[in-house]
Amino acid sequence: MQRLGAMLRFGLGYLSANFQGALEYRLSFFTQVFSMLINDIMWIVFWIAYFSRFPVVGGWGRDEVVTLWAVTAAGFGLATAVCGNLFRLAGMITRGELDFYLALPKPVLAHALISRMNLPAPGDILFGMLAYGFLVRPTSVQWLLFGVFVLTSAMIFVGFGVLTQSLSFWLGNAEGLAQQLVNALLGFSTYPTVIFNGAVKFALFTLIPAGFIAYVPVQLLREFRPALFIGLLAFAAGILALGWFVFRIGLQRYESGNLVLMRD
Amino acid sequence: MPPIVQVTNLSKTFTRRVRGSGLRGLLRSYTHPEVQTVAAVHNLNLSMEPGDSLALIGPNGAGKSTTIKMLTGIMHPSGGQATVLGLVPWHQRTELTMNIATVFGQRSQLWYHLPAGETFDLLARIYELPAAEYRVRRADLVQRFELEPLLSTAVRKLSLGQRMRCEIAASLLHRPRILFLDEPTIGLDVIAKQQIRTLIRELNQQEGVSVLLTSHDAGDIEHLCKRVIVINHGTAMFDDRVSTLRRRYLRRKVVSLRLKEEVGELGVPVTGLPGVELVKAKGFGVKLEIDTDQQPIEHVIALLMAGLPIADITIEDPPMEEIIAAMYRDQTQAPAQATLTEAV
Repeated sequence: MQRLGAMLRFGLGYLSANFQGALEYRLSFFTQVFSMLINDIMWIVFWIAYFSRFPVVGGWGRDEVVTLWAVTAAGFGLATAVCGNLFRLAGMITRGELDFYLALPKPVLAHALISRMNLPAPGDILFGMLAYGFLVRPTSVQWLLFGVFVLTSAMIFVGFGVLTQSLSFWLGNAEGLAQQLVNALLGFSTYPTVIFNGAVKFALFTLIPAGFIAYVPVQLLREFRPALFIGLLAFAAGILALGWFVFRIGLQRYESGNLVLMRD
Repeated sequence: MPPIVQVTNLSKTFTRRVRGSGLRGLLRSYTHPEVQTVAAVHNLNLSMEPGDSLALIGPNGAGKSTTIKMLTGIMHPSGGQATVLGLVPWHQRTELTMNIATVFGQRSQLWYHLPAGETFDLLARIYELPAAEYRVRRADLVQRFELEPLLSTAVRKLSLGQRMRCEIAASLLHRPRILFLDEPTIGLDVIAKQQIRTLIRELNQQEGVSVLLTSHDAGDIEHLCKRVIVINHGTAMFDDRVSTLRRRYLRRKVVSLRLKEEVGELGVPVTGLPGVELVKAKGFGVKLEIDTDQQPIEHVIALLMAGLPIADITIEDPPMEEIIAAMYRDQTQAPAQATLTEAV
């Protein structure tokens, strides 16, 4: 309990520092929040227009696609809001920036991830909730499940992100590759997986696990199956654990660096 | 009392892909890959007693920073053993970092956009310091390091010297038993260097904090440390008291003068004195090397000041490369002398 309290105070300390850091440049901060909302709204408008002409795609209607988008956006928002360094990890490894975290008495990966919080990202969470609430009009049980699925999707984003970004320990600079893989994960997460078959579908549940981000949650919201639900929870926890394990192994190969660095 | 740092045959090697120059060299490195192993630290041995102030010095690339990074748990070694406060740094990093502090001259732990005081608060949470204890410690460090006027200014607006004072104060909040400093005075002007050196010396003497610092500035070790290890190519070449190093290798000083008039007709009044070597006298500049065993430096300076219209004067130690070269000369001459003695 004492440890949990200490971790909470540690997380709140970073939240406060990040918030103050973001507000040092107010205009940039609010512009970012505004453009993120516009971007999300544009996509929803596109899909609504699409479904007004073609009401069903592979057995999916407007509600399913809105839910798909809502879970993906909110999950991605949660992952990047809390773990703002998630997609910078490869570069941090290459530039020797992990020195900061290795010199301090906290778990390196968790510390590195949360030391930067993407404060405009909660805009994505808010967007996901508003889109789901207003366009799908869920029941309270569906809201509860939606919350769980946002969490599992965030865990998968973090696990997959850490796994791909950690390739830098072996490849030297995997920033570009990791970015491509995350873009693929994000891109495929926002398309109904029902339109894919065969090898592509297999890949979307293994190599690039986009199917687990939102497709499985949408299926579970349509028809709840306990085995599938447990499978999803296990996958989310498993990929997170795998990411942590690979990072830990990679850390033994960490070469640091001599670049002049500041914490921004 | 057991040593607080014990290092035995510590080694660190890096592998590098060898490539020729230009596009052809790059393509060839793919078709005929060649890997080179570089030993950054090679079978290094050292130990440190509680309260020690030890300097690791050497030229760029000697392996100083790599050694510090292994001793603080930042890097894993390729071979050998090390314990710091009885802990193996790369296996027991979390426990170790609660009791040590690391300051890198070229890497700031302070948040660039925020006032240093905010980083202090964050570090108190990271080290889980009780609020009351933190307040007392912070007030003490602020007073000792004269930080009051700096604490509310964003770090990006501080001078390098001011930032380094904040860095060191931040690293001391949790009362570490060992302070590792990697090039703490790099890039600082003479006054800022002096301030930092005084603060570190006071810490060592008043709080008993052991200090292990790396530097390629011989001035740092003369002012801060009792013991010095000189490393080159990852190997210790000299491990002794600073006074011994000074006696053997730092007795020569380099004096550079900038004159108000051209040196041509003036001449240099100390030329010909025993132990004084004129290295350069051209235009407005004069450079001399003085062997302080043969000629007291204050005597030479007094003569120069009396005889020349001096605009600026600098007194420096010989560059680290020269000291290392002198050590190599000593090491190669020593066995030869021993053989000669045996023959006699």
